[in-house]
Amino acid sequence: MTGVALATSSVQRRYRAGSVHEIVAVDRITLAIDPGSFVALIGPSGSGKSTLLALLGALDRPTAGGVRFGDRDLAGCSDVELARVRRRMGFVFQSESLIPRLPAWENVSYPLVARGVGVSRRRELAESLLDRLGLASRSAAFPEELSGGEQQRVAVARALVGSPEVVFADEPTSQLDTESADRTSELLREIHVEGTTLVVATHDPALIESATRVIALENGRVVDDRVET
Amino acid sequence: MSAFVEVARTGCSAIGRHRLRSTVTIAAVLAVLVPYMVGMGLAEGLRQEALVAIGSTEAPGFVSLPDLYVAGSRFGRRVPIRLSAVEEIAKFDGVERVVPRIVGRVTLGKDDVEAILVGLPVDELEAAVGGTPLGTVIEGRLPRSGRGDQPQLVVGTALARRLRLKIDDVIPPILHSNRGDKTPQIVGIFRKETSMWQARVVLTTFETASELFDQPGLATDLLVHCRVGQPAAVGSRIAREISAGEVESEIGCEVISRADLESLLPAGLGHRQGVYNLLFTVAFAVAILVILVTSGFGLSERRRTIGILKATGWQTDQVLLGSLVEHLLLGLFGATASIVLSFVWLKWFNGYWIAGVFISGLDTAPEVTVPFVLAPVPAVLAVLLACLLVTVGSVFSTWRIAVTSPAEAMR
Repeated sequence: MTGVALATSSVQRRYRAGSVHEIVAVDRITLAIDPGSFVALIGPSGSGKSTLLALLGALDRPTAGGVRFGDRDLAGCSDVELARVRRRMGFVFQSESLIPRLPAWENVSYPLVARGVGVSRRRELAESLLDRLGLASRSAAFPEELSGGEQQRVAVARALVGSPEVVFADEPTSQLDTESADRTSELLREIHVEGTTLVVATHDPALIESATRVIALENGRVVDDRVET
Repeated sequence: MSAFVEVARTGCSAIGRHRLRSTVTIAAVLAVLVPYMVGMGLAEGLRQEALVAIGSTEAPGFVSLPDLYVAGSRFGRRVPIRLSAVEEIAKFDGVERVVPRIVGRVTLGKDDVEAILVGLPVDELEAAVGGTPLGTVIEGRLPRSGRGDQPQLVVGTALARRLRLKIDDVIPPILHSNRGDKTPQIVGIFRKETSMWQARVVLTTFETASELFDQPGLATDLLVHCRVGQPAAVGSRIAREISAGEVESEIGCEVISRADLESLLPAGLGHRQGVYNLLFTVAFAVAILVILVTSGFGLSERRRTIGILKATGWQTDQVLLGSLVEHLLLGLFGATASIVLSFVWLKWFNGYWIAGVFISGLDTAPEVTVPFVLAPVPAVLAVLLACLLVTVGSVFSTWRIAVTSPAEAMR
């Protein structure tokens, strides 16, 4: 197992909506995620799945409470430290997460730029991943030339290019046709089988079925947390 | 270090990826810098020509210019001086030679085109147009008309073109004299490359000018050439001892030294440049706003891109570095293009239209070669301004996005 333990302690995220209203997207959630597990976050829209995912993935800071990545408390991290933590993670977003003016291989390899990997090595790594995901012939294609399923596979390749310890996916199949959704789900299962911790916010029954743990959210709170056998 | 290089590289390649944004940015830089470079080039060119004209800087091949300009003074205004003063001043210690000159305003042709008529003694004319071979300054020959002869004139480029004058043409009388009108003959035309000042000049002999203006015995001013170190002493002696009028002490003398002219020139040009710099500062401020607005092109795409970059491990400083490199290069490219374009506009298109904006009296297509000097200081300043303009406009908006959380940027 190459994963790392994730934990939240009474984590809360509030947003201001207008001048007086405040939305509590995540309300005092405490949980621990074991290395190598496949966690599915489920719940209706607006239940706080994506916000919890963003907090776990250091994409957002909590209003209260804490998030731990391994032995590191993310709340106390500087901007640079958070960026370094994110390099140990991979993200697959809902849609439109590719940079429009970059070809597929560059989209995949862009996270490696910040790590100082040279262009030839980047291209090599990106193309081998695209090949693995069945997109070898689409390496030079721009996002607008790719189908939704192909775009999502490129996004998966980008999440994997830095050999992450944890992969987060936010409704990765929600905007795909059945065939593309199945293919993406299969890819995520493969990632988990290889030992990477996987946290997925989803409504997709196929993905939920594959998860080793399912956490149900409602109004920003955990209403069910079960380990699948 | 390698991350720095790789991020900087992505900044370079971003220029080609965002063609519209890059084009708009460079166009904004050109719109601000080209008029600035052209204006500064023309101002410096005019200053250099003016310095040559007053003898502060000697143009190659040109003879030395006068040290003192002596005219009459009445009620604080310059008035003509009697011609007999030439002999008196010539006898002063330290004086090498004294040249009388007539300068007056005339109109030519049916449209009454204004011109400046300059009359100098025949033996001084060649010196006045320079020691260089005459053919490089004038097409034709110098006037030799004496008292009572048919007036012979050399006309400036702009006048010749406007009035369609050719050598040997005879034109209608310029001024109407009590002693009868005479039809002048064109014996020469200044070459357009000579100097901008010649464009509307009519050069003739002192005797002819005196007859045309019907002012015998008078000169507009006397040009006094002194020995080295003597101009100050000669000048004060002239002011003290010479009366400009025929009646003793009736009219005083006004003596202007070359040093006085030199001190007046930068002040005058400085004033114009000051006004120009003020206008440019306003244009610069407006350009920053324009670039801020244009940098809003594709802002939502940029927000999302920066969000993705940060989500995938880019640090804020790396995002900024990429943007900085991209926009510094755009600024450098814009500045270089501005310098080249300004040079081409001034040199090959002879400041078409724009020279008329900066130099009053010039037509849209100048008939003379406009003077310009693209000095290094304004060029360096242009590069700095371009970089500042572009980076201020763009890096600021990038920074604002980059400091927000990736989740916020991608929302």
